[in-house]
Amino acid sequence: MENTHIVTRFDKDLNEIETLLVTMADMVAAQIKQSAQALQNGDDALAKAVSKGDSAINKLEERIDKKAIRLIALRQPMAEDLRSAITTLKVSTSLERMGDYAKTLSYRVHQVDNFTAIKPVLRSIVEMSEKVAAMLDMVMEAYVNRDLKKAMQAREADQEINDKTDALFRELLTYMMENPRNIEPCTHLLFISKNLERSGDQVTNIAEQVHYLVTGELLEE
Amino acid sequence: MQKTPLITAKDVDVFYGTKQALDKITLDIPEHKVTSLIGPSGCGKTTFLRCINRMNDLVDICRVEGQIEIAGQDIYAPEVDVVALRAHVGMVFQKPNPFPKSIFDNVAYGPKIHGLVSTKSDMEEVVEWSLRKAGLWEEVKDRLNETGTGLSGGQQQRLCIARAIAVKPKVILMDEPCSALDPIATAIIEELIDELRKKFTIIIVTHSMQQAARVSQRTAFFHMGNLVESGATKTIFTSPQDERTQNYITGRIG
Repeated sequence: MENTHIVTRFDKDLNEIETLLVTMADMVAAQIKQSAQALQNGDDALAKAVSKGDSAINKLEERIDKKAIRLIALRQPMAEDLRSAITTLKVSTSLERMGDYAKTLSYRVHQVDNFTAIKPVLRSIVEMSEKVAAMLDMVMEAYVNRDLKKAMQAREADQEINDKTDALFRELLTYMMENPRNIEPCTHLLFISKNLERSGDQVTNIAEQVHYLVTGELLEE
Repeated sequence: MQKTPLITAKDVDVFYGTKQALDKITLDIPEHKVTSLIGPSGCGKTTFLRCINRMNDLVDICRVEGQIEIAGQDIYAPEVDVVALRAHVGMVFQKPNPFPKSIFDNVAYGPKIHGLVSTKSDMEEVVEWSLRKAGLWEEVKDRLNETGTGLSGGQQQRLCIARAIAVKPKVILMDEPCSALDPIATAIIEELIDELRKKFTIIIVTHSMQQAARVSQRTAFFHMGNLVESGATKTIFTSPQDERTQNYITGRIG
C-alpha cells in the first residue's frame, strides 16, 4: 500500500488488523511445530502447553474479526480495502482451524507412547508438521507482500503434504495388519496425519485468499 | 447481455472558452439501466451529463465536439429540436426546484407546453400516473392545489422527478439528486430510482460512492476531463482496473 488514505485513521486500522493477523499466524506455526515435538519426545508438559496456548489464538481471532467488522461498518471500505477486510476475516478463520488441529494433536500425545514401531512414523509426522508450518510462513509472507507468485508456490506445496499423508496411511495400515494391538495407536496417528493434511488445505485456502486480495478474482478449484 | 446501447457518446470534447473540460469521452449507456458518473469535483462528470440534453447550449462560451447519439439519432445534428430533445431527456437537479405553483401544475406543466395532453381528464390521469411513479401520490393526493414549494425537501425532489417523467422521457439525468436530502429521503429516492429504471434509462451524477454502488448497474469514473474507467458497478467497486479509480473510491490521495 504505497498510497495512503486521506483519513489516516483508516490506514492505521487496516495496518493494525494485518499486523494482528501475522502475529496470529506466527503463533499457529509455533503451535504446530511444538505439538509435533511433544509427540516425538513424548513430552506431556509441552503437549499441555500447546493445548493451553490455543485459547490465546482463539481470542486473537475474535479480536481480529471484531476489528475487521468495525472497519467495514465505520469506514465502508471499497475495492482493495474491501478485499483486505474480507480477507482478514477469512484468513483468521483458517488460522483458527489450524490452531485447533495442533491442539487435538497435543491431546493424542500420551495415546501413542507404547507403540513399538513409532520412531519412523513420528519422524514422518514431525516432517509433515514442519512442512506445514513452513508453508504457513510462506503464505503469510505472500499475504504481507501481496506476492501472488509466492502464494501460488505455497498452494502447490500442499501436494507434497497430501502425498505424505497417503504414504503414512499405507504404512500405518501395514502396522495394524501386523498386530491388532497397534490398531489403537495407529488410529490416533492416522487422525494426526489427517489433521495435518487438513492444515495444509487451510494454507491452500489462505493462498487462494491472497489471490483474491491481489487480483479481485476468486480462484476456481 | 450486450444489447445496442441507448446512448452512445463518441470522442466528445467540451471546451469552456479555451479551457478543455472533457477530452475524447467515448461511453455507451445501456437502456433501462442506471449509470452513475463519479469522480472528484471538476472532473467533468456534470459537464458530460449536461451534454446529453444539450444544457450546455445555454452556456455561451461552451463548445461541444464529437458525437452523441440517442437511439441512433445524433442529438447535435442541425435539424434537432432542442426543446423536443429535452422532453425526451429529462433532468433532475441537485436542489429540488419546483415551480412556485400548485403541485398539480408542477406536474402538468411539461405535458401542457409540449402539447401531449388535450383534455382535462387526460391531464389528471398523467398527473396521477407521474406522481404515483414518483412515489408521491399517496402523500399529496388530497392537496394537489397546494403549492409545491410547501412540501418537504424529499417530497419536493420527488415532485421534480414526477415533473420530469410526466412528459414520458426516454432518459432521466440526475445531477446529485440526493445531496440536499436527509438519509431517509435519500433512501426513498434511491428505491424510486430502481423502480424507475424499468421504464426509463437513468444517468446519475453522485459524490457518494455508496450511493453509486447502491443504485447503479454501470459506473463511469471521470478524472480531470478524462473517462478513466467504465464498467459494471460491482466490478468498479470491488476490483477497479485503473489505479486512479482505485485511489479515488478508496479515499486515497491519487
